[in-house]
Amino acid sequence: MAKSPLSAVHDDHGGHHIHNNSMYVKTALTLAGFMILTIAAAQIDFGHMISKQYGYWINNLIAVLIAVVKTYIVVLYFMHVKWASSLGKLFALLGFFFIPVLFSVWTDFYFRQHEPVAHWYNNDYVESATPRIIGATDGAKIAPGEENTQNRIPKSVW
Amino acid sequence: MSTTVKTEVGGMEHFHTKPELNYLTNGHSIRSWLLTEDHKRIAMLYLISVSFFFLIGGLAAAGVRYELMSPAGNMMESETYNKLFTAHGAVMVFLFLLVAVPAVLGNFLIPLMIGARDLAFPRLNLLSWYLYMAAGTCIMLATLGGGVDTGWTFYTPYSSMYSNSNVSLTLLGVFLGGFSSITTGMNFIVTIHKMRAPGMTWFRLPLFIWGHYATGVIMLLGTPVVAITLLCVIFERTFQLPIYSPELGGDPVLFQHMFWFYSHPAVYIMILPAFGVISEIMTAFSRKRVFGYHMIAFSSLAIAFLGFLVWGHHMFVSSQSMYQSVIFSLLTFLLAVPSAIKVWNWTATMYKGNVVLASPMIYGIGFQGLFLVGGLTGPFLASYGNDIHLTATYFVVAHFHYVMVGGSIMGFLAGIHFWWPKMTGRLYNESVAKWNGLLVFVGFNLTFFPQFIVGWMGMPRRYHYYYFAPEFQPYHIMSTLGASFLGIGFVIPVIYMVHSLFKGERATDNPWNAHGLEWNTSSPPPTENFRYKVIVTDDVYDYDPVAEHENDMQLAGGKA
Amino acid sequence: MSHAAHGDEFNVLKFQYEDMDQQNDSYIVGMWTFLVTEVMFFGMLFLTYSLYRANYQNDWFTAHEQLDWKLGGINTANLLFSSFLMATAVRQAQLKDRKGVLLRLAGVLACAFGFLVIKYVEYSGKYEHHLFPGPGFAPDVTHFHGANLDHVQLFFGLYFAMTGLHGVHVLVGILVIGALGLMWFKGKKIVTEDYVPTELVGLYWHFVDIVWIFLYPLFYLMPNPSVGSGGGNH
Repeated sequence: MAKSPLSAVHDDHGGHHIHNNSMYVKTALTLAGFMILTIAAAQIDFGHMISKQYGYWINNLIAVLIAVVKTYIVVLYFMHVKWASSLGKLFALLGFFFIPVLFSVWTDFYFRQHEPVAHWYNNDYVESATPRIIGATDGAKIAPGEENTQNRIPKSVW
Repeated sequence: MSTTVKTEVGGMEHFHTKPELNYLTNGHSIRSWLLTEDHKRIAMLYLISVSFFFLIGGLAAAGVRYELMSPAGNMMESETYNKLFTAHGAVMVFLFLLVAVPAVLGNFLIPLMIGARDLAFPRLNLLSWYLYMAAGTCIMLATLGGGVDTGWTFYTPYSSMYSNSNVSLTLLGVFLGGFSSITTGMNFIVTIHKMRAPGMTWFRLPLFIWGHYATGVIMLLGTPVVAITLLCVIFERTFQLPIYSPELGGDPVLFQHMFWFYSHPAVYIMILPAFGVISEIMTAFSRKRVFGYHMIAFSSLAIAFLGFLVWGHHMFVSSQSMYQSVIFSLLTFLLAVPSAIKVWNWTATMYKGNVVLASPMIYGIGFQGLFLVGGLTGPFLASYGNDIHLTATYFVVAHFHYVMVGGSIMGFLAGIHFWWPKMTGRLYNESVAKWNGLLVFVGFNLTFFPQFIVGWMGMPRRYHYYYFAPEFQPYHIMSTLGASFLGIGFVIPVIYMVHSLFKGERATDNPWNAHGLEWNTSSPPPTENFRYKVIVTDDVYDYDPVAEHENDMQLAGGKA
Repeated sequence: MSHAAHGDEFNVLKFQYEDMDQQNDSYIVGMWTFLVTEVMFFGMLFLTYSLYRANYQNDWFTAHEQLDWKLGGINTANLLFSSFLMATAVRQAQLKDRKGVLLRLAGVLACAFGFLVIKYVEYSGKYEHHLFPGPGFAPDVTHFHGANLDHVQLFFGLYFAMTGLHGVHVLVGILVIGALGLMWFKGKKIVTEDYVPTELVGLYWHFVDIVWIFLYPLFYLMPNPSVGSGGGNH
């Protein structure tokens, strides 16, 4: 006969614990506290308080950190991952751990701020049919006979 | 050979099967097939449907090839050509390659190989087939009802703003297909974790299982990203919600990032299961334990993980930052290591083995040759500077066909030939199968090797004419000729396989004398897979060359 | 022998499993693998959001002032409470307390409907002010203090896409919870004998809550990027 899950109330298999109501109440109250905290933190002007340059990012960082902590609490207590088997824990965390890999797309957008690199345009240039700058093919911008400086590519390419 | 302890157990009344019934004969109504929860029947449903879509994709490819025979592009309009190659790409990628090996062979064999009665979620498995069929219906409707001209990559803003073709319907199809893939991946992962028979430890798992586990992880982590990315394009087209709109300050390159974040790992969804198949075949027909079992197993996982870090090499000529491109270039070179480990280990498995050139082995060796060429042309394209010359040329086309067709389809054919006796209980004509393996290999090389050359010379991909360079024509003619051979090489197996269903000799339980749990049950297996309780006591691939020498002689003599 | 459980009367244990432990653990791990895909699904949207927001800080701040952080706050509290009810419903399911489960599931459903009603009020407000992107996008310029309206449109594009997809998840949640409640109401053995189906629905619902935990501060509680005058929502 298959074991009824209730025959294993106190064993150490995942999810079979029956918790006190107080655990759920405490968790909910903590989450409510964090919710108020996140609203309150958004009212604080860190630009004035700490740094004009970084105030905006401090605000954002705090908001995201609070959300992460709240997620952690929900996952751990409401979703019973704290008591799950190690396999359950692995898959519960896999997605959240993989988000940073997805967010590595950010590096591209960070690097793009540093382009074009200055010396790209310091070389000699030859005429090219390929427009290097968007809009360069717009005939109205280049008068007939005028040198089309926008359609140049560095000689070093040849 | 005693991989299992055979203890007859009662209590199989759930299945209501009589001893003489197997999964194919257990119920003949259409309902018993369309509402089946049996993983083996679902695999057969998948086999029939992927073959159909392969035919459609192949016909589109034939159109593309015959058009390119002439530099003038006089067979069809540019627009028709665009729709044709899009149909070829979308159908082959989303309806065949991503599905073929995992959903047919994986579905059929994973429970058999680990000694389970079924996958963990049989109903989800059936759902995944229905989602796949819905995806196929959407893509077919879109293709036949006017076509799509964006290419299978659906780059924005062309797909979101300018294209007037059936983009949304196709994207919906791909979206549904993504969910089919996700459910399959979930099923594999949970099954491999939870359903293994007693004694089937992780390092007793066949490498086929390791390959499918890595595949499942990629399906799980990658597919939702492309699903939502394509859904956003649907949103843009139907609700005018701007997500990538460049005219409003959105970034279309972000679409490329997100598309390739999935679609690069997706090539590992196509190839990792094929790696698994080849690992099985190499060891079975070399009559020798696979060389470097642990390294092959871990290289699958390494490929699954590293595969997520290299997507930017598809975007070297987009407005991706050059610094980012350099990083992606380096990481891509890194990825060659685990792939090379596998090929090296298969070669070392064959070394000093008693190699039996049965038909699956012919396809398997063909796989190795083609995958080697495909793999070694990868570094050409991974080099940032070199790739700027080669991007969007036929060199790229040849490279990924060597990997996808040469890798995935050869792996699929090898696997079908290997497990066909197990799946159907019949033997096909072995000598025809061998000659056909040779035909596919030659046809394939004739099709795609000239494309390397013509691509290096500058033939751009997705052009339907090349009157500006008529000197490319001989290469295209060679390619088209090879494609015709290849087409014949894909039709012949259908003929002799179907023929074997009716006229084929009955297969024994283990016609190849191979090791593995799936060969210990009857051919074809009963609905409950094993009529006894499976307990694994032996190591995997525990071939003993000396003791089996006699068997080999019998096998080679009896089958050649 | 586990197969004794395969009789028609008591089919809580599916044929492919050996015992309830294996089945329950498979179900829970299976649900988590599904949630992994959901995390990646929403992750891509959050990535898009973060990139655009970093690029258009001021314009998006101006755009976000059109959203009512109080309504969003009510919805946050609402989902939090429903999450609590769902967690205790699972507890009652473990105790096989049919009435308790039904009561709590009804509460969850009420919260979910409340969420959608508030969402409807918000959406229809946006629609009336012509804030829905596309050809109909014609907002009152005076509200935007010279912000680039293209970027405002981008903001609302993502707002509708992200909260809309979250709303679809709430809707699916209502259907699933409704189905589960019906099974409890009918006393189907598959839910009453085994708490895991209830737990699975609970996991899904908690995930819907988690997505909103991120959506709320990111869309409704933006700090002001203008140097020195940051912070403060109205």
